[in-house]
Amino acid sequence: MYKRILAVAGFAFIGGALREMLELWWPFSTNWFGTTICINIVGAFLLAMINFWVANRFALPSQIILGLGTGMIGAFTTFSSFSLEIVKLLDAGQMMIPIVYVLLSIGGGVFAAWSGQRLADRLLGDRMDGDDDV
Amino acid sequence: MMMFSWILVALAGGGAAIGATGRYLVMQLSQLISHWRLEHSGRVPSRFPWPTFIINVSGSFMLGWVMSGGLSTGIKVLVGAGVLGGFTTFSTMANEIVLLAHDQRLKLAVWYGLLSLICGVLVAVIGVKLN
Repeated sequence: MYKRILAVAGFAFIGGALREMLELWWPFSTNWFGTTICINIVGAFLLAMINFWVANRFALPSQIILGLGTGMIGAFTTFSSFSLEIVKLLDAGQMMIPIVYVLLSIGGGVFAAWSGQRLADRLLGDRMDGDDDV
Repeated sequence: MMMFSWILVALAGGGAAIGATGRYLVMQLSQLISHWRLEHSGRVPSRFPWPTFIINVSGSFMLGWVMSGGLSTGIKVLVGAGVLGGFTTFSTMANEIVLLAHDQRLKLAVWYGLLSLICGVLVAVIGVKLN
């Protein structure tokens, strides 16, 4: 158990630090609100690839998969900033921008997760005969 | 505008390590409870991703409260961007929505996304207003 917690915490450090670097380089404002959206979309794709492709394709210890997925990508992406940034955009008296923000985040995130899961299936399907749904 | 600083990056990383560990423990606890309920009262666990939902909504509330308070930048980055940013997660939610839809639970998938969004924004507002 402690090995798994250590893996989650260690990899989460990388994910959280990376997110903060990007947020410092391209800070949120009412003029630029794309950083968190991009982080969440990229992370949704990467989590799918880690859980559905890397986990099945490479013989890695389960703690590493847990660390990469739940730890690194889980900490890289964030829901709380997503919520708070919508509040800030609403506070700024905008109407269309918060709607665009939500549509891009959720639409983009779900599409990215779907693409990642589908790509993982394809990549594995090529290796496992008779299990592909072309 | 905040200046780039490796100290802030390290604070966010350290906070995220704590937050993500908290999220992992909540997930484990929820699995234990589901198993226990299945064995003792035969209750089949709900397909609604309650652990992620509870983590994301409670984290949104706390972030609203932390970021609107008069705390120093260092504390805001450590607790806000770090602990709460690492505790809550968007990627898991997106993947859960896709998995639910894939399992023919499209209505539940839509409800999950919509409810997360509405509750997250609502409690973040409450967190901000508390200050």
